[in-house]
Amino acid sequence: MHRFANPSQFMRVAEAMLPWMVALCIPLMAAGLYFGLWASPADYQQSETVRIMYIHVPSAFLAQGAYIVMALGSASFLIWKHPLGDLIARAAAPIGCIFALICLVTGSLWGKPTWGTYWVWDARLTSMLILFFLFLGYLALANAFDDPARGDKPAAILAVVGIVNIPIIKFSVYFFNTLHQKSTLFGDLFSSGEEAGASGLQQPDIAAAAAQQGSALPPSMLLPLMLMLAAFSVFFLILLVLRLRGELATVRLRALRAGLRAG
Amino acid sequence: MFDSFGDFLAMGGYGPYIWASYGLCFGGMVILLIQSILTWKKRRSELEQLEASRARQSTPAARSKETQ
Repeated sequence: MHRFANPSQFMRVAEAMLPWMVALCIPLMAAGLYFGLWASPADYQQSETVRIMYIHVPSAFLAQGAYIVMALGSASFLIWKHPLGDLIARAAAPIGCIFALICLVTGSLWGKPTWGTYWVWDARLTSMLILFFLFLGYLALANAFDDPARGDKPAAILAVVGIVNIPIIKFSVYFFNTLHQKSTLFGDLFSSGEEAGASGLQQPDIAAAAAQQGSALPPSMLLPLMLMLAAFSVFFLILLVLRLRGELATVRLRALRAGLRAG
Repeated sequence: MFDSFGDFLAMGGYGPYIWASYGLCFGGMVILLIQSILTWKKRRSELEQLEASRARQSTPAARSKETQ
């Protein structure tokens, strides 16, 4: 396992996997779009607007996943001084930032027809907005110094401290009054079947049965959501490898230039 | 399921919300992908240039040392 901590060794493995990830991502995305936009039913309460869920939930999932990757990378950089941790964090930050923005925008566009408003200052929406600002703050801090190596540490500390926001996002729909519906996939962990049924994402007769199976979603809606979650996750890994490659080249470039100046 | 392509585009009257969501989402993802690839290509060509100029600089020096 230790040899993967060598950046060039790590990149060799990651780049070998790249074509396979692309080959996996395209059919997953195509199937997700087909089932999400065409072959799934409209919701009995939200009608066609429920289709926004198939991109809104995966982008929220990815934004938080990217944050966790960024925080773990930063923590390993702070604890073991491992440069790969910092590079992974720097590669994950812009991806998470864009997905947090996509989540906020698609959420607004979903909120207008279903809630009657683009935005409310409740716990879920506000904590998601804070996640977006944490990404922006990390990027600003990591790139604030003329010598980028000086930004590594403060940015890594921000990333690690900011992780408290992740459980806040997760539990915000349970601990606070909110317009936001409860967790779609893991609702049963925190609420009874009846409450999950009240989330408004299914037909009443299917709701009870689906809630017992552990999800509030009927299979016809669960399928496109799962396909999109998988497609988005693979897409995230592809972007991570591509950006990591760029970050590694940047580090090499910097080292070469420093060597030239010194020589 | 939709009866016609027109119905599909209309999305039960919610077309603007749904298509704007999907458009912005995939637009953002494509921009991120292109930007990631372009950044790497730019860095790679800078690296190659730098390595090439270093090789050009070091070769005459090495030759002059050999002749001495």
